[in-house]
Amino acid sequence: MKCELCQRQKAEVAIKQTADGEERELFVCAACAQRTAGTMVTSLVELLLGSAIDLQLPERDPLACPGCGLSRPEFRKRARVGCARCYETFARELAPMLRDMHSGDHHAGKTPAREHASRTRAELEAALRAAIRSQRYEDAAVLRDRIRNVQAAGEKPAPGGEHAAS
Amino acid sequence: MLLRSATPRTTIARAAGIAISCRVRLARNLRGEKFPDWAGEADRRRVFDQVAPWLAQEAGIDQARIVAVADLDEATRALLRERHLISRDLMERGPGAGLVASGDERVAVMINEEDHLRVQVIEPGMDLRRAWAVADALDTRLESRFEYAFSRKLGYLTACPSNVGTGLRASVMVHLLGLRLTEELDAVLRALERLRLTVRGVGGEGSEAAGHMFQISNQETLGEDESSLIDDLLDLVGAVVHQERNARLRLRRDNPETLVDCVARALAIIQSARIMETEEALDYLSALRLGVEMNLVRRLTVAEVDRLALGIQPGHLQRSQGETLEPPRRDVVRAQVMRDTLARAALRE
Repeated sequence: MKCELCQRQKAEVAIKQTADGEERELFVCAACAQRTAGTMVTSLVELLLGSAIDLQLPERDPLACPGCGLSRPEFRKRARVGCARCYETFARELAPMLRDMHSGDHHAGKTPAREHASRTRAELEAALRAAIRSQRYEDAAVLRDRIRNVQAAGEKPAPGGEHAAS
Repeated sequence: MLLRSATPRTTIARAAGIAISCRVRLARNLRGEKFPDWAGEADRRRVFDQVAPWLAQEAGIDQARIVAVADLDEATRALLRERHLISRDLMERGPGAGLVASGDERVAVMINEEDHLRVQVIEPGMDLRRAWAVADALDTRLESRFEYAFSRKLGYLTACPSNVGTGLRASVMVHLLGLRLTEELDAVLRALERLRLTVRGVGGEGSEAAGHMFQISNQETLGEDESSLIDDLLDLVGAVVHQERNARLRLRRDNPETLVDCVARALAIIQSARIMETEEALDYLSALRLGVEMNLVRRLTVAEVDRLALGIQPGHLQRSQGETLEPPRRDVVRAQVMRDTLARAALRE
């Protein structure tokens, strides 16, 4: 996608622009982002006259999903994501969509078995780090043992239902 | 065998009553793979080649068959669509899109539809809990072999945010002609939509409710577990079935002429018509179904009506005739098949 200001360079960042009380988003190249950020500072006179275009500093949101390359405008057009990672990349846009679609905001159903194992492990490790930081060494020793147990269990073959589907 | 027979093997044909059949569908995606719509053909083929053989051989699906959509002619695609084995969406996809289905067609997994996997289980009547149990077991086997795209907060991650969480769509197909005749149908359907359920017409070419068949399903997938979603749906569908039953009883008591006229007309037209379009046919068969259930018709069973309702659809009709038929010719053949099948049926005086 080309920069929406210079139409030449590749667009890399999204900036917010407010004109006549309406906010819209522009996808611009790094140079134009710099330039427009500069404009905001140097056009104080215009700002005082009330006719200025208020360009904010570039946002940190990437323009496209690093997981699959789906661009932000394309995502908005399709209202479908391109990969699992998009749920992080476009989290800001997805939040209101999810609120409209679902009463709940947190998964409460089935969880894959391997997820249970990795989650427990991650949680235990976080707890272990916290224990060491606050010098609760006895707690830390218990946590260390539990992590070892989880690790040993994870190396066994995953239990799976062996009954027929139909 | 799947695809060979012209007669339907789905459980739909065996079930009777207002709630005809039910379905559980789980949307699942593989971790680290682009979702099908955004993936390239090579990605889709890789997913298909990885998943389809495993499903057919290792997943415990009885008499499993692999079907690649790209290899099918148009009539066969229509046939699978009419049996609810593939979606319209999957039907139009190319290489890498397909299906693994059990011999009795109760269990099917669509591959590279909107999501990598759509696990589907169909049961007769309203036995959604059983459908869920079967789908859950197959899903558990799948997840022991393939790593799913899953997030702790949002659950199973899907191409459309409307499916995240459980990825579960549970639905029941209901026949609501009684409520149509008592003119209460629109109010009932509106009430269901206010309760955040989705109601869609089933059958026919478009999305209109040909034959007064409706599919009622949960709209939301995030925030509740599978059993609660299913129980809530069953409660509400149970209420609709109850209303339909009451409407039928009221018709018989207060307006028997309306009821008998509807059934008698349908039978007379089917036994006389020389040209019959699918949707028109489904409407008459819907009336006959009601007539048989209310004991107004002789020498006809609900199973025969259901078999005919599927058999006269374009894909099935062409399969049973063994040739490709252009639409005008189809309408003539359809009328003939219906006349022949219902030649002996008569109103009970």
